[in-house]
Amino acid sequence: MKKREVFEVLEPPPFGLERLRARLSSRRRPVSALVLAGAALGAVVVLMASPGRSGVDLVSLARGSAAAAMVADVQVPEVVGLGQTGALRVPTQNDDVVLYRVASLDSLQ
Amino acid sequence: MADESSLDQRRFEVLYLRLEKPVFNVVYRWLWSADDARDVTQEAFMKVWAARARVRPETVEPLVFKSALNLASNRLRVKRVRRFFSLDDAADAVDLRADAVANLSSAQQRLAVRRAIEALPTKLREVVVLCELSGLSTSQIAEALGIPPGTVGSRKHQAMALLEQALGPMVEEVS
Repeated sequence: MKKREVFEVLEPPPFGLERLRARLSSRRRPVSALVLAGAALGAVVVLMASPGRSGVDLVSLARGSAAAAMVADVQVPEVVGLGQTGALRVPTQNDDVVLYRVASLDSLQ
Repeated sequence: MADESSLDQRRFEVLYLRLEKPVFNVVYRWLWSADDARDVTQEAFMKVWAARARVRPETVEPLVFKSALNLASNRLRVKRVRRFFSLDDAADAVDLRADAVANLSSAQQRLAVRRAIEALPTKLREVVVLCELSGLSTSQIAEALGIPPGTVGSRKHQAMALLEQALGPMVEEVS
């Protein structure tokens, strides 16, 4: 038997490169979708965090709560306003340790 | 400007055009189905593409064949399990019938070659098939199989001896 008959070289089915290109582009598609989803999520976060959406003044809200606490003879921590976020300094036993409780607009609503 | 060593899509397609036929022919000697061999060939290239950031240009060709052989072995295992549960008989029957219609004696000869190659131990079969059909050098075959180059030569010699036992003396035509 001839060696070339034993190891006969066959032609692969046609359109191999086209199939490969299709697979390469379909592999890329989920990445594009992921980027779009990420961009959409970012846009939602920016819209929710944008100022002027709500007339709520966090600092006065927190100070109102503090006044109520004073009536109840509760030690009131210091309130700091940071835009749409309020921070309460929480007293600790150790002076070297400083703790803040932070609340954003959405968590108060 | 693109990095000369990086495997971008253009270079990858050139590589595919160069290796598609040899990879297909090697894989075909595992699966004996053109459709399966085409699918495994494509899968092997996709695996290399997915790992392109870690692939060195000098090893990309052996890597394609190594991936293809691994994938072909896995697919063959699945086929054997399916055949055990009689799920794949029909597909094999179609392949043989198509050959028989084309040319009965040629089909018989091909069947004898298939049986002889299938009867080879895997370690000998992968060497002889790569030597005869891949176009890789001995050192590249050694790289693809993770064996020393000397072992490639000795395994090829053993494989050819077993094939000649099964098929008779092999004549190499001089062009």
